[in-house]
Amino acid sequence: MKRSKVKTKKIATPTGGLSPGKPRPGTHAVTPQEHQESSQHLGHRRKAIAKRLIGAAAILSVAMLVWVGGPLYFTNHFAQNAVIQLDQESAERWLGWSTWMAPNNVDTQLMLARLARRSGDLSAMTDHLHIARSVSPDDIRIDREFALADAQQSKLNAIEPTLNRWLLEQDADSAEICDAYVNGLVAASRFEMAERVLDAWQNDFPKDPRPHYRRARLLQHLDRLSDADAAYRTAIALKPDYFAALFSLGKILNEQKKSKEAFDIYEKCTQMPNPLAAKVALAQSLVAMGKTDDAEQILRGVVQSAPQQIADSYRSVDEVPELFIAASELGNLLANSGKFEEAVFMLKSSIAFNPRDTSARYALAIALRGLGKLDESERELELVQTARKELEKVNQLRNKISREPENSEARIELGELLYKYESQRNGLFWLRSVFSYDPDNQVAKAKIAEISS
Amino acid sequence: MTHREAVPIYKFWRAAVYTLLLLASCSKTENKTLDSETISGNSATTIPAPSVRFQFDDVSTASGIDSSYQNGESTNNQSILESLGGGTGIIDFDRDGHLDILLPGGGTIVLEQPITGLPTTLWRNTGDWNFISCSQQAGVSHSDFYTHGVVAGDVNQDGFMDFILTGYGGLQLFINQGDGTFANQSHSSGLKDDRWSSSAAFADFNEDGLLDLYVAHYVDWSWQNHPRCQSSDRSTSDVCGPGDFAALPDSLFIGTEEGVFRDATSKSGLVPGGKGLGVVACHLDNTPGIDIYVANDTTNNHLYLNRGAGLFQESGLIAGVAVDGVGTPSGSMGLAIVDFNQDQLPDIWVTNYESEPFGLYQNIGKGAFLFATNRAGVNRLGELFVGFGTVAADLDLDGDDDLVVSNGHVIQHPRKSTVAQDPLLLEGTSYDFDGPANQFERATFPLESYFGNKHRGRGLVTADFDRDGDLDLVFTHINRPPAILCNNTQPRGRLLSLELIGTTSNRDAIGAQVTLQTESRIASKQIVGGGSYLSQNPYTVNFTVLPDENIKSIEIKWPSGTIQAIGNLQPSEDATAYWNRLIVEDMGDQ
Repeated sequence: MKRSKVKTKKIATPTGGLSPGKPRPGTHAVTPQEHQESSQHLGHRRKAIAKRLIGAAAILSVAMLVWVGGPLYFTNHFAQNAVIQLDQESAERWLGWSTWMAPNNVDTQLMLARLARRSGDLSAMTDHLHIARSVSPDDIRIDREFALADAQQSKLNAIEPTLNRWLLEQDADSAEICDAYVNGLVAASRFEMAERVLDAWQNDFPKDPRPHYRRARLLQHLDRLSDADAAYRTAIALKPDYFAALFSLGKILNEQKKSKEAFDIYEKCTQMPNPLAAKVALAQSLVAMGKTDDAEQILRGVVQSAPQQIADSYRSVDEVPELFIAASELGNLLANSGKFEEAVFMLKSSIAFNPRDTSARYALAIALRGLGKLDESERELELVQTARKELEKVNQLRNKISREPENSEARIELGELLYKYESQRNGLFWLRSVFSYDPDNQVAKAKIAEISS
Repeated sequence: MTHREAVPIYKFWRAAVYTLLLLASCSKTENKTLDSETISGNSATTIPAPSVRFQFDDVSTASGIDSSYQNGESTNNQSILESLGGGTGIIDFDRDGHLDILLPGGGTIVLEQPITGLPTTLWRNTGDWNFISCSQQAGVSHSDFYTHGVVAGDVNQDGFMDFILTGYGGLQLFINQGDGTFANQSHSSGLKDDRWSSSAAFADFNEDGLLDLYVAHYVDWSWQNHPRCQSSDRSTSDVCGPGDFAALPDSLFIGTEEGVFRDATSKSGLVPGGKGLGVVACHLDNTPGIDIYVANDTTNNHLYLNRGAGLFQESGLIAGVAVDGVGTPSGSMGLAIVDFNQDQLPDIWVTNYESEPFGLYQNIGKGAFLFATNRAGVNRLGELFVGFGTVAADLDLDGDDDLVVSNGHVIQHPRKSTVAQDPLLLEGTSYDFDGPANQFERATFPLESYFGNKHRGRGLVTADFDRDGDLDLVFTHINRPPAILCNNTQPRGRLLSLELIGTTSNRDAIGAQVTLQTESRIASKQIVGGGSYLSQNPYTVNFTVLPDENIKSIEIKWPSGTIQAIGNLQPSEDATAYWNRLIVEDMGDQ
């Protein structure tokens, strides 16, 4: 039942400011009611003035606050928290506000640089750091960010003592330093050292999921899948929406042919802010489960998205999107279900995105064969065969490098092979790895220059 | 009187700022809380309830078969020779109607010493799951070489099954004398082959009525080429992989007269580069002549399409059967022919190494195949396997073939899986199954059953040993006796088992194509040469006749090209099967 509201009407008073009492001589006698009305009127006027004053003061305060950077302080503060919590989406949103308020703020630019570094976009990182440098040339945090980028890329020779010193000093950036350092150590195949840093990181930050995640990545790299599985789960227990860990766990499960479990994990990953990578992985799980029609439907949706959006989604889960996986996977499904014409279109777009995509090329050959284009099919098969044959040397070269880390020739050969036939990024990594042992190696420098040009 | 307190100015502007910030954050809509419980728990796969559909009782102990294949690993030389293991051959050597079991013995490996063989054993089936050893009496116990596999066939066309042992050092041909004994005729047979052989297949490739022989060779390991290798995490030494060795070329021997062969490798169109472990011979395209498919370890699988007169064209890549679905060669071991989608075209089933998917290649005609592994659901196995011996057979007699795989690792310190592994039974879903058709679903078993336990499996065959109208299984293992499994699955239909005897064709009728037509369906099968891994299945064709079905016709296309029809086949009086081992003789060109 609704209660009826009693409305009170304010009564306006002709005079104001005097308290009720006896009438003065020579004046019109005021009735008590008139007196009360007059008093009320006076009170309202005072309150109105007070409100105006307070309002003006508030506006002035807000203006002063904005002028001295108050809101920026808060947006950066929230962004900082989000960066620590690995909540890239929130961090980017708060930093968007910060940038709107103060485009060249050093703290904002440093955080943007950190986010860019984490996602592997070193070019964007450099841009942000240059802006920060233009405002505050002597800020040592800028140098630190550059050093962490070097560490992350395994350029450890010059900066390793500095990294160790920073870790001993135990400042607010310790976890970030550990993260970049471990990345670099793993990339340099210094697994024992990486594990030691991980142990320290884990001890100092027991609630931080990242050391567990990094350890899992390392264990996965070493083929210790069940240990990696457990480490990912620990990371996820500490941070249930740790999508990079969830995504990687799904990959391990798929690799172990636990496609139903992987499917469940990837379904959770579709709650990611940009879930395109998760959708592709979900489709791959469905393929492994024999539900190829469902997978086809999902992939058809993903390939409609902008390539940059797909790439961003992969970066957000620490994956480097060198291939157009959605198109390649969809093309493969179509080719192996007899939809050859559509498969050719899809696979050609995948190969156009990256000519090193041998799985797409093989599926293209099958589709072309299905269309009766045998000559074209055989040409594609020949390219696949050449790539596979060359890549057969990869394991031997890796073994050789493992036995003789200073063997620059083997590193260069491996880098060139990978660059040409498999992965631009991995190829460059191995070419650059020469400088860890031979900083002035001219052959490696020439190869990198040739590639860059 | 109500009194309104003055609001402090700092609270006011703080509220204003927060309002501003709240407005800024209002685009954050979704609640990203995830259920961590389901993920952070134990990673172990939930074990589904055991299937009641299949029942295999382990009768190994009762059978009396106690010989083990010895791979020689006890001397700890970690040679790749140890990794292959041994298979088995099922032959009715005394023609008493009971299938007997032949088991290669392996050998011993002593560093820098010649590799020696251990005795082969022959187990005579006396019925009721009793087997007695007759190796000595039969004259098969002595092995000249370290042995792996068995391939059987009536090479001299005398009605008695002969066999060849493959292995490291040479081929050994044993000719059945028809009196319960065998004569070792390796030296007079023309089978000069001292390379490391694995699987082999008999078939009449040049269509002259005599059996020819394809022999798969592995790699060039020897004591002179014996590198030390490390485990994948480099923590310890381990058996080297095939990548550390060069491939040995395979051989093709053409039968010239009964029991004598000539080496026709150089003129047959075979290509080098394959590290062969499995081979199957049957019709795979729509042209005459028996084709050959070879499972190679880490290199492209080969498809040799028969172009007549013993000449082959390697067509694996363009046919779509050389590599997996993404163009990568697999570590292929075992083979079976199955028509998984019931289109009367033979599809190829390949067991592979660990992380690789097993290969199911759908035959779309004219020598072309599609990679159907994913579509058929055979990638959802729940764990990793190193697959070896395999058979395709309708074990529950529901009308479609099921797949069985014997698994076990080849290295001593695997990181991703275990040395001993579960065997697999993948149930065909085309008939009598709730779910999508033309797929395979992994069957589950009680923990105390053979299928519920891990083994170091290698060879595998299927045959009706107890003549009760269903197909039993024999698995071989590394350094353990074989497992003899009696099929006690409740059948839906009845077994129709045909044994074909060639007269103008080769006597074993290898390459014969048989088509069964009922009122509701058509099924087509072949008698294949080779198959599985290092093992020999009986040369029978097995169909299932469902309860509501009547056979309209059976058509046999003999290897000689003659077509023979059997109409109106009524069930036998034997209640156990529709027809158990119905013997059909080639009527020639009459």
